[in-house]
Amino acid sequence: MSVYAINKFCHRLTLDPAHCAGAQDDLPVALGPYDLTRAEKQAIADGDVGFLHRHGAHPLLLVRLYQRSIGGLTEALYSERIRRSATTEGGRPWGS
Amino acid sequence: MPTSHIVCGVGVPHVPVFPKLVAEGDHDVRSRYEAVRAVLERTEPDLLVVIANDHLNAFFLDRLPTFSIGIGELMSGPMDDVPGLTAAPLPTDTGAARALAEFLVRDDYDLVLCQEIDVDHSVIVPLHFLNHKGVPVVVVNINAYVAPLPSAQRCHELGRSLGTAVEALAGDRRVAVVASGSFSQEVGGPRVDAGRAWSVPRPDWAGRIAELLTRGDIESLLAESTPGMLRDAGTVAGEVLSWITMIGAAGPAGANLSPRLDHRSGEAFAFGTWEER
Repeated sequence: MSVYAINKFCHRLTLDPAHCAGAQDDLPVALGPYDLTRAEKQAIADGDVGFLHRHGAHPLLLVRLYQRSIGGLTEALYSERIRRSATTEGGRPWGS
Repeated sequence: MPTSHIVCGVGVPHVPVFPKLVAEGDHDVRSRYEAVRAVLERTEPDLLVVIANDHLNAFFLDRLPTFSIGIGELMSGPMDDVPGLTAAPLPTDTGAARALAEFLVRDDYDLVLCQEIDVDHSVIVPLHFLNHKGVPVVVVNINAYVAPLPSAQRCHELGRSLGTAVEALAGDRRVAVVASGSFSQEVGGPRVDAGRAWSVPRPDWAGRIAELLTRGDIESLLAESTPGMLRDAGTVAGEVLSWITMIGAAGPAGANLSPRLDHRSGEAFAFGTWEER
């Protein structure tokens, strides 16, 4: 799991307007430079924040996916999916 | 008797939407910040030391400082989303900032020294409401979000050293210390409320902090602010470390600074002032 790369992708969404616009316009291309597995890229494309959180991505970075409308996420969808991740087997708290 | 001293300590939340809500007419939020601003203006500080927490904006996981201080002329913000506010330079006092940094490092607090720094809503929201007079600002950032966090005890000791550093400042300075942050909040984690990306998982803990601060029982606050407690209180509950640092700075003169806490049951945060009697 390339947790660091996921976090970095999310961080740059708010720091780099060109990166953000690119991600909104053509997500697969924007994900290209990042060292991510196919499953990780798919999770970002699907807005599967539960998967990303369970594998250690930081919540303060993950929220930027819905804030920048990546992967079709809205705040309500983000909430629904991250809440589900709390009870999924294999989950672990961030940063621990 | 040192001529430079801390004239007051204050603590406020930094909820990013508050400036917009107040601009749209939220008199309640406005009045709570105004009560804090009144204390700040009454005590006439000529320097504000803001103790804040960068939300993985200026700093990222590649090089994340536990403690840092801005010492240069180049400081601006907000660099993140604060509805209604755009980035602008902050008034600085590089001489005072460097003197504080030199004292702290000599006293074994190894802060990262930032000659150029953008700051996020944790600095700008408090200043938006409190610093209408444009008093120069020194920013100290504490890592409140990425484990391992510094301990409550360590932050309190940093604050005490900061208080002593203030007394060593040349020029009869009047310094206010501003703590920024909430006590219990989950942002983006699995315990958020349905339909939104945040919640208040431990309002009882927020109330407990307000109670201990009001009583001046800092020993209990330090003992109870364990890593486990802060994890349980939410993904951003480490922000209490800003308050604990501020209390450390104001604390040596604690007999002279009287606390007043504005906290309502169920809320994530408080508005607090420590003013000379």
